[in-house]
Amino acid sequence: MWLRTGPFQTHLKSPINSLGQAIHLLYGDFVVEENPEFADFHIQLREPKNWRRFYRPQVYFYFDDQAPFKPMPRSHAFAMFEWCLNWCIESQANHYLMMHAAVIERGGLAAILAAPPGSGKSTLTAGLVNRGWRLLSDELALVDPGNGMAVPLARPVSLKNQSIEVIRKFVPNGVIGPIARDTIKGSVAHLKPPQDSVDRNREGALPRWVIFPRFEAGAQISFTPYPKSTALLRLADHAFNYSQYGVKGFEIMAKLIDRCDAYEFIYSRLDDAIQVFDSLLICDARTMVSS
Amino acid sequence: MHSKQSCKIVPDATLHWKIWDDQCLVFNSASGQTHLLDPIPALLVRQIDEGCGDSEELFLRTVKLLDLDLTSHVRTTLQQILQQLDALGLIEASRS
Repeated sequence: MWLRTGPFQTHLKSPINSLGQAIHLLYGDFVVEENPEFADFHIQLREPKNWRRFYRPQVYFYFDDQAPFKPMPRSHAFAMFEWCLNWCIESQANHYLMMHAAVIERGGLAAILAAPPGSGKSTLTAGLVNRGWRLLSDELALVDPGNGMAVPLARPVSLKNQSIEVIRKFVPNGVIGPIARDTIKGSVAHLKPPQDSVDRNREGALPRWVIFPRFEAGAQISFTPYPKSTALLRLADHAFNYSQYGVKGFEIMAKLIDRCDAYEFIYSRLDDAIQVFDSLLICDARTMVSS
Repeated sequence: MHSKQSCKIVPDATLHWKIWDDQCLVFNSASGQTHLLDPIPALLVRQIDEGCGDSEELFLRTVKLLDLDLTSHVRTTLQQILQQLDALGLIEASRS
């Protein structure tokens, strides 16, 4: 199968039925091409040809016929596919400045949500993209060094542990794939991205906000302006290849932060969080009118 | 008599600056590190970068810019900042 996700073409081969079913469920709206001329990543997920096929079956990930990782249980095949596709992009796509962050867009303006794992970033992203915001990316923010635009890479949103049920209730019509239990991150499932985000998977957006979100159970919502200099350092900490870019990375990041407002955001309820994000747009429109 | 120091930017480094309000970020091309500097350390590094290498001259220029007197306390503070900048790998300070 040849799958296009944003700027990347992936050639996936796998005989694992459950993986095919999960891809059909969660990537059903994506462009699948018949034998294109080029693929960025040639990957395979397959079971070892030994007795393990019958007793606790496992799956190996192959990238250009090399297996860089230890096998995982076959029931984790889709989660493994997602993680390994992230790894392919992180390790290969250095023509973009890449950060561990989500990116959402509305009105042509993008918000970069940067946070360490377990901060509630993906839950927030899943909520927002099902309430009017467009998904550009859940895990990997790609910035084009030439024009500073955020490049779309809409794929299924990774949900962990309690977030799976939170989003199931928040997005009753949402399609959630199989749950991989007892992974290194706990239970993991993926939410199908909205159709509009998939259809606009070639349409970049100019970053306007850099937000550092954190979920805190029972906390009062708070949305605090954050100094630009510290925001740059913090965002650079989330970047995979900032140092590889050298001074160019510093300049790209400085330009990005220059045109963004930065905030630290603490939330405990998704509905409140969505109101705050919607108010960003209103504030921005008011500023544009008054200036 | 105060001990003089000779200060220079670390060899093969070019410093790139970005300033927002009173916060200065400097990227050191030799180390690939980005540093957040308070205003006074930033002022010292900028002057050294502009070629002011003698610590006595550097201190006099700095206190003039800040409208301060070069008291022993101020001198000690500035010397400590130079040591910190040296430890960060932004400058090299040596006795002259």
